[in-house]
Amino acid sequence: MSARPQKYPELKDPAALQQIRQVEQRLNAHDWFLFHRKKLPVLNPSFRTATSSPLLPGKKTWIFHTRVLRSAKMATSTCCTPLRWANAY
Amino acid sequence: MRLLIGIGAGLLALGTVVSLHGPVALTAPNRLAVLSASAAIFPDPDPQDYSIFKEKIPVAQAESTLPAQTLAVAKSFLGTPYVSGTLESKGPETLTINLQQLDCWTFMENSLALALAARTTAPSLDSMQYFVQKLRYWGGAIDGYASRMHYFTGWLLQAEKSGYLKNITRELGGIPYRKKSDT
Repeated sequence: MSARPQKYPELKDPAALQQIRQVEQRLNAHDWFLFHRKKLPVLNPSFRTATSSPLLPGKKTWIFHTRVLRSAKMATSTCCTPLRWANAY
Repeated sequence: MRLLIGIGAGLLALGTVVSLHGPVALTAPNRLAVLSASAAIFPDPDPQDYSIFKEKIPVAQAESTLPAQTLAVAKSFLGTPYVSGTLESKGPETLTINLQQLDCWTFMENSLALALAARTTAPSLDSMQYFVQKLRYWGGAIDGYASRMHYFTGWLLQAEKSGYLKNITRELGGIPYRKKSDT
């Protein structure tokens, strides 16, 4: 976002732009992982519960879609980041 | 990075009308009890959204675990129009609840918030709004446009920190991803 602030009217505000930059720095400092979709069949048993849902980033974009996943068969995009809802509640 | 939520039509016209509600009493027999909120100000609900909220609570309550409840609510949203940009509005940043139109992010967020609200002792729209705010804004505090999460990775981090979910990519053998979030 901060690289293209003109796309976001709210980022005309320098303070907001600075805040977004700081958010981006925090996120970039974090270690992220993903799977290529070719590996999804192997992971299928891990996904076969109602407790998982993935993000599906593409090669050129980071995250463009997210969904609640019932089966790895539903994951058809390039890559994914599975999540598991906490069972602690 | 491309935003998950675009700018577009379909926003819920809540304007700046707010109503003052009393403390949100989330007295659940588990860690939700710690979420007993102080006085919260939430926008008056749209009647249609309130109606949908009332429909979803029994759907969630029919299940017992948070994952199953979240999935049940998510499935019940099938058929809801996909509309992006429903959170974008002119004027001061306010909490928007729109259950009539969802994009992939608000779909997941509202499904989880409804499931969490259903687990409280006395589910109310206030409690759902509380959870939406807690999920959607950094630190759960609304303080302008930048206080709302615009990167889903941020949403992930905060939700994981709050204990609502766990990113299991690494433990399952995921590979590092180095793309930067700045575009």
